[in-house]
Amino acid sequence: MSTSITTCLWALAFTFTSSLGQAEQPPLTFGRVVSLELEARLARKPSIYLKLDLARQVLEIKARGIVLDKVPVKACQGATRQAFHVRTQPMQLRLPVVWEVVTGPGDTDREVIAPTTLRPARRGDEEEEEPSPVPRGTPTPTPTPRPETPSRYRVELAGNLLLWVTDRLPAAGLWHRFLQAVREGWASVVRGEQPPKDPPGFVLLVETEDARRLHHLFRQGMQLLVVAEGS
Amino acid sequence: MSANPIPSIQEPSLPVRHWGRWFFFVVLGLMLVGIGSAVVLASLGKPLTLVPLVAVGQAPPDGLDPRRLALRAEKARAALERVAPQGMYIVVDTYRNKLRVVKQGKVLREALCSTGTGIVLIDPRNKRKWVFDTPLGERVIERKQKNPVWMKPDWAFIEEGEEPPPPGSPERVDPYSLGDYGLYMGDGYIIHGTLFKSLLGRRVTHGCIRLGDEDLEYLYHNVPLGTRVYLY
Repeated sequence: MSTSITTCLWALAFTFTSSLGQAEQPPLTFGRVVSLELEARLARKPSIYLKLDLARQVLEIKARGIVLDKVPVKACQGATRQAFHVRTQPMQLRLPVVWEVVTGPGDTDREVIAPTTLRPARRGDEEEEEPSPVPRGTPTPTPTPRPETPSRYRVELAGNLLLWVTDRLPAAGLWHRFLQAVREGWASVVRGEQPPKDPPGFVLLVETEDARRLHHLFRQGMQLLVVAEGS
Repeated sequence: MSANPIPSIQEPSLPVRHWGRWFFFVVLGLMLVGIGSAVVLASLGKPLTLVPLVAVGQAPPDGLDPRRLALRAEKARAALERVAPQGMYIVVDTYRNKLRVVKQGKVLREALCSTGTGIVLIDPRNKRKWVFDTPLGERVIERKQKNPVWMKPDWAFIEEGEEPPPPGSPERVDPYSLGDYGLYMGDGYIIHGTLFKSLLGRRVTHGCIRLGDEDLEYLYHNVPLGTRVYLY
């Protein structure tokens, strides 16, 4: 009697712990193993890398396999340029995959200081006063206000792909697409401008503050591991 | 009986009715032309269209042994564990200007800091370029120094519109700006103090990390040499 109870308790404990284990780690699939191998390869280098999990809707900032920070992702969608009347088809994304940033806002959005001439440096004995710690209560200099970090930007990825990071999805209804198409057609006829030929891309929708947080990370060489693992 | 007092309704004359009909057809025609033109123009454009994303998993090779798969996973996990920092490490968020000292997943200390502006400075004489970024990635505390002295590099003078003095010149020596302690991370990047405490929490430096006095002292006394620093 007592033996059967013990067996039952053991069975229950085993079921409970194994279900806990499953909650912590996704089941071992071929894709999961490949993603682990890809991450192990990224973590070998002393660089920051990003891991986007489409199933958990989270973008992790990582280094050496540890999570430094997390950014919740509100949506991730495919983006393509096509005639407004063509029926939209879902975009397939083979996962796991590693994208590499070719050019991002972290490379391009920079303020430049370029003095035109230089005057001779002040000699030590010509200094008006020796630098000293600022006494309490003395106003300290404030830097020139910097322009606010954009919350909508595009990142060029290797393999002719684009990633749009945005805090607001562009209007995607038929009417909006029609108006946009008319605008592009008008520009083409009147000004001779060709419609933009963006390669296929992906739109990552995040909070405004999170888009700004990620802005400087998207620079040349940044690696982005994309998986759909869940947890 | 008197004459009928009811005023007669004057029917529009024939030309007015005629013009009304014309007006209707002109408006209709213009609308049709407008819509037609819009459709023709729209057919020339290719607007950005959002489509659902469908994740497609990689197909395993035929006849893949599950035990072999588990072995591969174990190997990858072990590789990740091997490279992960053991013991204490420092994490610097260069956007929020926050520094955290972490040990075994627990944050031991969080401090406000200042990091690089990201501004580019160009030397007008030879077009040499400096980018005032706090570097991203992993660094190591290589050296710790009490009362560090800053040997001002060329950019510190060029930024002020001055010609840099020759190397080793006394004008380059600055014993004040770095504060009481310096933790050196290589390539001239230092975690140090600041005279301008009110600028902590902002991106104002040339790439170094500035800390307040108490936090800097904590780091100096508690962070051992070889500690890894993760900057993102």
